[in-house]
Amino acid sequence: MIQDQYRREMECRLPRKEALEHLYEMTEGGSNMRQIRRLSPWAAALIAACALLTVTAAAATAPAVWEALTSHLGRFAPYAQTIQATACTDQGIEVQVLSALSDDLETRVYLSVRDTTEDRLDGCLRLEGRLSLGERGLPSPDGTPQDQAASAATNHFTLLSYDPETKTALLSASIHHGVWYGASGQIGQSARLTLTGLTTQGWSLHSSIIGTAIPAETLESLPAEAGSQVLLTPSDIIGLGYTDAILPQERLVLAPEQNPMALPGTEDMWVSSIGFAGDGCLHLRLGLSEGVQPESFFTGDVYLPKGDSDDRWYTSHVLLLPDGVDILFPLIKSEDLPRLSEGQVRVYGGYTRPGTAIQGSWTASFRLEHHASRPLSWTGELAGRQVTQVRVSPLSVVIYSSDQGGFADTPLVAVKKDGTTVSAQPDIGRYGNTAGASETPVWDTVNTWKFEEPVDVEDIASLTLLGESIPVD
Amino acid sequence: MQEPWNDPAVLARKYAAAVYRLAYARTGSPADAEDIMQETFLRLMRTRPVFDSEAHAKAWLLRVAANCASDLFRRLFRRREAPLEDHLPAPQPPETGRVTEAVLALPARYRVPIHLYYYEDLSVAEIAAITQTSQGTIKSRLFRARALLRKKLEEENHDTGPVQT
Repeated sequence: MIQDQYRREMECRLPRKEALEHLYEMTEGGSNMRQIRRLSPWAAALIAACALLTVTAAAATAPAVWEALTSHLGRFAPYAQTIQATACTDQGIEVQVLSALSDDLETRVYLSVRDTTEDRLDGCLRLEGRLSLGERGLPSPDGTPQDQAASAATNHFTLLSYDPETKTALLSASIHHGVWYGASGQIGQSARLTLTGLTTQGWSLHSSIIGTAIPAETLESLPAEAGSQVLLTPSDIIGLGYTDAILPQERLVLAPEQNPMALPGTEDMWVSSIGFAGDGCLHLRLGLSEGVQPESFFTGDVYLPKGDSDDRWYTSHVLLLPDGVDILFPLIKSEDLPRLSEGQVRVYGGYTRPGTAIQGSWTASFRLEHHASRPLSWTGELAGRQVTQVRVSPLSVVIYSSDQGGFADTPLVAVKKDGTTVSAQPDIGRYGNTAGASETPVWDTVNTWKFEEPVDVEDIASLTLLGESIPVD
Repeated sequence: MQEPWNDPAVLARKYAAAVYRLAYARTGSPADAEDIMQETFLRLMRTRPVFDSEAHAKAWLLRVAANCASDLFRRLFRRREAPLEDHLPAPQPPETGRVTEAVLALPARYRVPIHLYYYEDLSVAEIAAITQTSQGTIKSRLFRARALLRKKLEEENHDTGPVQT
């Protein structure tokens, strides 16, 4: 059939390796890359002159950050490795690798950042740098031979918590290596953290207001001030297919501070007014702290948990006002209020804020202890797919098969020998036709699942997927 | 903890090739397809929409890629001041298969629907949502595109008998 032939031909079509690497670098770096450009030109010269200090981990780390880490890890805490890497300090900022949770599928490294001299950090801390695993040439802290296995890296760090009393932030960096870098178990054990800067001058907001906060009555409205800057229109890149023709003819905004409330997750902005304006449409007006400036594409939408994929819920028009932001939902009217009360008005996007930007050098090398997965002796047919290998670790399950879809959306259940069960949710995977342009497609598929709580492989009797059972020997 | 489908790095690893292939099917140019792939994920990084599911994320990426590809054609059209939409010669690198060649030779408005239908295995409703076109229009374009493909492939290969679409 033409469709099969087209698929085979298209499977051979791939971007160049360099283009993919550039893309991965961009997406793994996130908005940190944009922050680098905002650093002042003299910063590099200043930083080059600064000394790098090294202190022991035990002397430097605040107990509160360990409490935060233990709380974050939850039931996985006993399975996490305590890293004995030394902390390093530059310009009074101490960075220390604390812990790692790693198996053949994913490595997650936890680190702390503490201001030992001033109060320059806060809950909007972002790091610039890189966590590398298994790179050839990485020095081994304990003198063991260098890794010859696959390498992987990320430059995306996630802030987990910030404790203003101890001026310490807890962050993590995660690398999925089991799927992308060859067969499980080949990732190297050597790791290096290399940080080149940190900043609190920007943040990416993801917040929401519950729908029941929206009043039924029409709120006081004002004409949009001339010169207000349009940050987003319905015809912009969200690509919903609407044009500005759907906007009300008279551009109104809500008057400020009519039903103010906090915006969860940030103190940089707040809900100034939310409700229906004189144009009959839903508006959300945000107040901004001094110096806070939303970036292009700052926007909002309406999320309905009971499901409604109609694009009108996602359509917004965003105006930057002299003292705030007005988000207009041109297709959401007062008759939608019952549906709105079931959902949330979400706000998201990047913004700049007053803060600190420091460039410097912080490095730490350490070795990881992976929870090795065990390949099961069972192979065969499962729910119509040919399964060539199943690997199980205390944290995850990896299945290599001919699946063409179905595994990726289905939770897996581990049945323990005591009869209790542990669920595993689908995680990332890889689908590919290795036959290229030949007549018969050959699917080389890797699906992964992460356990909701850790489970010793010795305690598992079987795995259940799509109603069929895989024995665990 | 962030869901994998809201992590741009995970989405890039998983769907970069799908975005690239859609862009290639629309433009017929590997270089333009790479540009569109980068632009699509750049827009993802800038807007950081919160997806409800992996399917939602994939549909968003394909929709933005289709829009970027159309934008590229519009820019080319303005720059060259010549109609390109249906007359751009499809590039034919040696490794391009005969069906791909036939798809690239279709009028531009048919290429994205036929790619999403044949390669991504999407329904008419899903293709309509991604391309912001009515289901009736998609049905019509798919019908017409398949007829054109069948005709072209039969002309090229009349000795092998009827072609199934």
